[in-house]
Amino acid sequence: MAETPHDKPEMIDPSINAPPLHHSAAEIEKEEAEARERKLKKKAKKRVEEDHSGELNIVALMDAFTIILVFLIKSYASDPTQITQGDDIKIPTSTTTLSVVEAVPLVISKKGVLVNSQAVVRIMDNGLVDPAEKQGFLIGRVAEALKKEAEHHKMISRFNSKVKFEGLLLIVADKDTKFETLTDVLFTAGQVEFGQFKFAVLKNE
Amino acid sequence: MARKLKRHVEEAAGELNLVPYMDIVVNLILFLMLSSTGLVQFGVINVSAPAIGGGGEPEEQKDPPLNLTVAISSKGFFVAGTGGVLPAPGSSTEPSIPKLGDKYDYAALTKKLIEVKSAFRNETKVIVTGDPGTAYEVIIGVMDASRQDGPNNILFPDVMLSPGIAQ
Repeated sequence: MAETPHDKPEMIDPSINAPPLHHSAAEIEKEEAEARERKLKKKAKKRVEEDHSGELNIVALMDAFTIILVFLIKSYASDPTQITQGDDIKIPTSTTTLSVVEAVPLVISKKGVLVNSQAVVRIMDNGLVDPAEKQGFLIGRVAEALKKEAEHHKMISRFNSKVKFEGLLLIVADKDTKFETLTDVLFTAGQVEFGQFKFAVLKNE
Repeated sequence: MARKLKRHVEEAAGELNLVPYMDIVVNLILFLMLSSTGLVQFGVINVSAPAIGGGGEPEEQKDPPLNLTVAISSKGFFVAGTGGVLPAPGSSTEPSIPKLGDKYDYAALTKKLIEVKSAFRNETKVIVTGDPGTAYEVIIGVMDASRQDGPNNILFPDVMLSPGIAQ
């Protein structure tokens, strides 16, 4: 009896990566799992090789640094007045909610009085201004320095209508500054057109 | 020769050398972190000196001024107004709010000023004065205590500084 094409056993194409027909479903699954595992191992090995090649990926670090740099430059630029603390000046804390505004800075540290970052008069060990520098409450050198600042700001306001001289003084004082020194400075400022004071403090929120 | 060629090939392939840029950025960050105060929150307290003579704009006031004054002494706070000084419990010479040990009692001062505020609702000014040796930190503490009690209960926010008490 001649064999019809239908009776012929089915030919398996060796190029097809299919499991042989006689494998059960469990065996197929097992083989697939093994293949997956082999693939993962190969990937891990490749990654380890890449890590040991000596090339450091600094792109992520660069991203972080750039963000930090932008933040720092922005905060540096947005401060209207630079206030710094140190051994000679420790600013007291307060519950105030007002923010720092642009004003002429006057610093009273443990060692001296500074007008716009320029040392003007020395403070003695007892925390007071040298009596030789004073005429009553008035501290001569501080008055001179503040007068110069007032004239400077008035000149700017003459040429720039947006800038207005309001006689605003930002007092940045050490927390141990004596009341006598403070009132002397405020009295002196009052004599040279600085009538509004803002005391710089650390916000205690 | 081969190494040179390799580098040339890498650069031509678009590999950017980030190391000099990294150096600049690290230096800038260090400089800005040391000089910047961005992480510390600074604030200000508005203060004015009492007007002398007829300066300033005249104020229309129906009630006589309270002239509420907090004087800081080495023993505690004296709270005074037009008409006299608030006496300490049991003594007329002791401060209105004596010190608690070595520390000033800011909470008691706020409590006392709440009582004053309840009697003078429209008053906003307080004059702060003290011994010549009073520390600046204590003056700021008194300003805080007299400014407000909590976020909504505003007491006396207009602070005026007056020269010290001569002893």
